[in-house]
Amino acid sequence: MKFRHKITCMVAVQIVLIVASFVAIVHFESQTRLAGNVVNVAGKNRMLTIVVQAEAHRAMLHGDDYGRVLAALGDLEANILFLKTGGSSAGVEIDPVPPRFGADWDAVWEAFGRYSGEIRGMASGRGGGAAPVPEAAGGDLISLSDALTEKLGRDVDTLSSGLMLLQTALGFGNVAIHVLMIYLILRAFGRHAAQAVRAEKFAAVGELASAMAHDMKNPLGTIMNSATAIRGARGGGAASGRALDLIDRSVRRMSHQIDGVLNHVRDVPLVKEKRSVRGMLESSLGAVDVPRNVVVALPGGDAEVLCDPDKMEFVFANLVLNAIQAMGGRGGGITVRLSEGGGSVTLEFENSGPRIPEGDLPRIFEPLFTTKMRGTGLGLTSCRNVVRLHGGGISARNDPVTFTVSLPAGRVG
Amino acid sequence: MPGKRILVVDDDGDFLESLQLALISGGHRTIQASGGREAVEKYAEYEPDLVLLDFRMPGIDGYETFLRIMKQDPGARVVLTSAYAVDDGLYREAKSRSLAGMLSKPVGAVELEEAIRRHSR
Repeated sequence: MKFRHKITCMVAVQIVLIVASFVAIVHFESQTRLAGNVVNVAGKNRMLTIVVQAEAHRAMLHGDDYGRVLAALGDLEANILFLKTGGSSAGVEIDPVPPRFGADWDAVWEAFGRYSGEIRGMASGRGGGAAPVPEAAGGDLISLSDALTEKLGRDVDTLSSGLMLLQTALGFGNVAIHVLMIYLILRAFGRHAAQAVRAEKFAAVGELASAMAHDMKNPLGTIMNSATAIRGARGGGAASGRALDLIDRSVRRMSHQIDGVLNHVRDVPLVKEKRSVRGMLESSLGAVDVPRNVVVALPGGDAEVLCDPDKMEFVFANLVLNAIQAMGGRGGGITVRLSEGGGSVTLEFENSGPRIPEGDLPRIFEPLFTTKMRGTGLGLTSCRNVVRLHGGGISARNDPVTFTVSLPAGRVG
Repeated sequence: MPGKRILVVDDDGDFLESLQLALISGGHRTIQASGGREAVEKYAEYEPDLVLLDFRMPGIDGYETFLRIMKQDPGARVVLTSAYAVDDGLYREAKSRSLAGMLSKPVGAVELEEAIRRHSR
């Protein structure tokens, strides 16, 4: 992931956490507030019942009409129903009584029914003469309402404690996550800075090496041309022929090393041709000094790819050279396998050398990474650059050590 | 393959001379030029079968020289030789203007003969 994307993701995570914390707290606070309002409304039942009782006593003592008693009874009924339905009334908003308190509300409503019946009977003068104020039914209603209010109050307590716990947890959680994020951001900045310094150094070294490599190519060309001229004109024996072969091979090896540097310069164009993979493998072995105790087995089959043969041969030679160097003086075998399918041509370079340390596997294609005394740390990176320029991929694995080059057939090059 | 008449263009004197020697040993005839202007003049004078043209030269560079030769003779067979990285866009443009090929220095005897066989008139 790119540095900028990494930082953006971290900041986005922080923002999401902050917003989520706020939303959670606001939600729970709202729940607690609504639950508190329910307690207040439930508490009003006691007061409204007492008002009905007082009005009933007043009406009975003074022989007034029962209009005010029935109005007070209506207020009490509306208050009890408001608890059941929830909603908004006189600027107070509440949720309906939670279902777990349904039985308690039903008991209150039942008690109200009895109480209401007795009050209405008293008001209508049923039973003859002045009926007594229904103290017992009123008392029942008050005690059942109080029981409901108490339970609802305990519920609010639980919610408030939960809210406090949530606020504390989110507070600590946010602090911890912020500290972690700051640490991660600082670490990402640190790595980015180190990478930038490394890239700058690499660019400077690369530029110098590239200039030197270029300047060496003309003299190498002169040596090779001269060898060609001598070979054409000579009448000498086998020794001079062998000497010319050695000049030729040495120049190719030097040129191969130089290409390792130049292949970092991505503006090298691909000169594409349709070529046999096996032919390129054979040709690439000509640029590598294969020791006598190393056996290279090439694939039996063949495939054609459209590619820059010079650069592809460089890749093949480098992978073989790398395997030889990994085996040290012990010798062994290098087996190259070739397969086609799924629109790709795949080459596997398997060698009998020691396994690559697991920690090194992800880094072996990085520039300047080498575990060899003689390595430049450019070989495998150059291989990767060349393969990628061709639209392919390269990977390495252990057991046995195998480098896999995959080239998309049909759009190679 | 019968010997070809090849115009060799390079500002590096040693390289130019050695390439001429290699070509002569292969049975070819050579004309040499050490710069772009001289190459264009020599091309008009000798009409060679093939031009081996160094890409990077002081004054008129290889690409400009190639354009001038193609303007003079649209059927000219020119192969660029280079020790340097060539801009990919420039290379594609040259190919679209009938550049025959490109050789990366150093060039071995086999590649040289193969290039002459494939690209010369």
